[in-house]
Amino acid sequence: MGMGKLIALELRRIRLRPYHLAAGACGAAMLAFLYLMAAIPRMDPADGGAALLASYDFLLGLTQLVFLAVFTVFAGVMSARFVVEGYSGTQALLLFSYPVSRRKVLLVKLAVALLYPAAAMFLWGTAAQGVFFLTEALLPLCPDTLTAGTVLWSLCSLLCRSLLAGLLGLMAAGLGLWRRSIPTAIISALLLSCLACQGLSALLPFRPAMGLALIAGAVPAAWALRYMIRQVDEMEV
Amino acid sequence: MNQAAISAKGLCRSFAGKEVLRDCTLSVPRGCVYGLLGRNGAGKTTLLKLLAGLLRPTAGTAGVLGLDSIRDREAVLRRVGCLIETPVFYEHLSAEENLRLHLACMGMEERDPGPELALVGLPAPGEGPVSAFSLGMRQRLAVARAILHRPEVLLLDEPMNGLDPVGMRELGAQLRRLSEERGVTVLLSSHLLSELARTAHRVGVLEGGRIVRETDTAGLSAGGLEEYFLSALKGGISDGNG
Repeated sequence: MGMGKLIALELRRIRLRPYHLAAGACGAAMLAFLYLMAAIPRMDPADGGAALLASYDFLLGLTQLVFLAVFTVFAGVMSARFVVEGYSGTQALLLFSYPVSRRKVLLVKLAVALLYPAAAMFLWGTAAQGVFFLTEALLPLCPDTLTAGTVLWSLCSLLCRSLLAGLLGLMAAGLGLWRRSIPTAIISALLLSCLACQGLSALLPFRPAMGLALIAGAVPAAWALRYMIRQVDEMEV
Repeated sequence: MNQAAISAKGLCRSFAGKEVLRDCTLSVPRGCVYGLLGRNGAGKTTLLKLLAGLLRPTAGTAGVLGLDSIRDREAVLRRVGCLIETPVFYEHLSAEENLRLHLACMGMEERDPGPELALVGLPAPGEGPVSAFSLGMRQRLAVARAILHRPEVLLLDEPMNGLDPVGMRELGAQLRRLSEERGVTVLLSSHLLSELARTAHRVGVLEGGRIVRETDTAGLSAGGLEEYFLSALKGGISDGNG
């Protein structure tokens, strides 16, 4: 059975509606957060720290970091629900009773559980930033100059951070499957998001840090994927 | 009924050092309804899981239709219908959606699950989710799913659990019909001796990790089967025909 058909079957098995709503709510929250951060230098011009928020690079970087944390937990929840729960207890009995390669089924589950949050983060992030840039072009809140380069860079960094959310979710799924525990997957996602955001916030002005973080995240994520494939191949129910 | 559809040779399986199956050997001919008897924890579910390739044997081989349950797992699952342990479904989907999904996983999207639903006494299960089903309805749906893709072999672990007496009788008759009309081989475990005496062509008693006695059920009443079962538990191994 081809991967496309397996993905279609997986989408029939699961209910994505609550995740669509949650992703939409996160997008709206991101937009509100952007405006709030952009308004801070105006509300308190005397605050030296607030001056940092007067730059689009910093403002967008900070907002995207918050978005990264939210969507890493989102990916952790989805992988816990679709991957860890799917391979725990009696659910696994159902999964393994079909004449389909176990490896393929796992990859499909991971693709849905991790590509969905990454894609949702990118799409909702693009939408929120789009609205923000539009209003900034008409009625600017931020004193910085909005250029095409700023817009392009914000999209590029959003894409990298979306992929990073997926990779961190993959690591959380590996930890969850190792313990066969849904809370482990979710708490791991939370801790990983804190770790990643802490590290990236320190390197916020350093643009190449985003690419390096992606590469650094890919290594443990690949290890987690290999571990999960081996686990599922050898799993008994 | 001359070629073995289900075979186990010297099958052993341990869990955390405890041997559940020990040198278990079983041969079920094609088209036979074979009843598996045994105490709780005798290893009936383990044997069924080994045959379905869901567990790996510690030693020995398990095979279905000439295929090795581990090596040819996917081919085995394509030709086998299983109901092992508690039936699991996608709870938010309806009965029909669950069955359609099963057909799609089996590569048979075009087949209509309606006849099988009617066959197990769920002709109009409605659009409601399976989560609202009673235990009996779930069991019926699980049987419908097991036979839906027209398997040649059925591995059923206590399929009559939760069914009312009429349902038990109907399921027994249905299994017998599948064996007689379609040549389906059925291996079922049950503690309901009266139903087994009516349904199975042959029964085997699993005790101490292996089949200790086997007999044909022809002419055997429920009471007779109970006596046979109890004496097998006390007596151990005897010849192949009661």
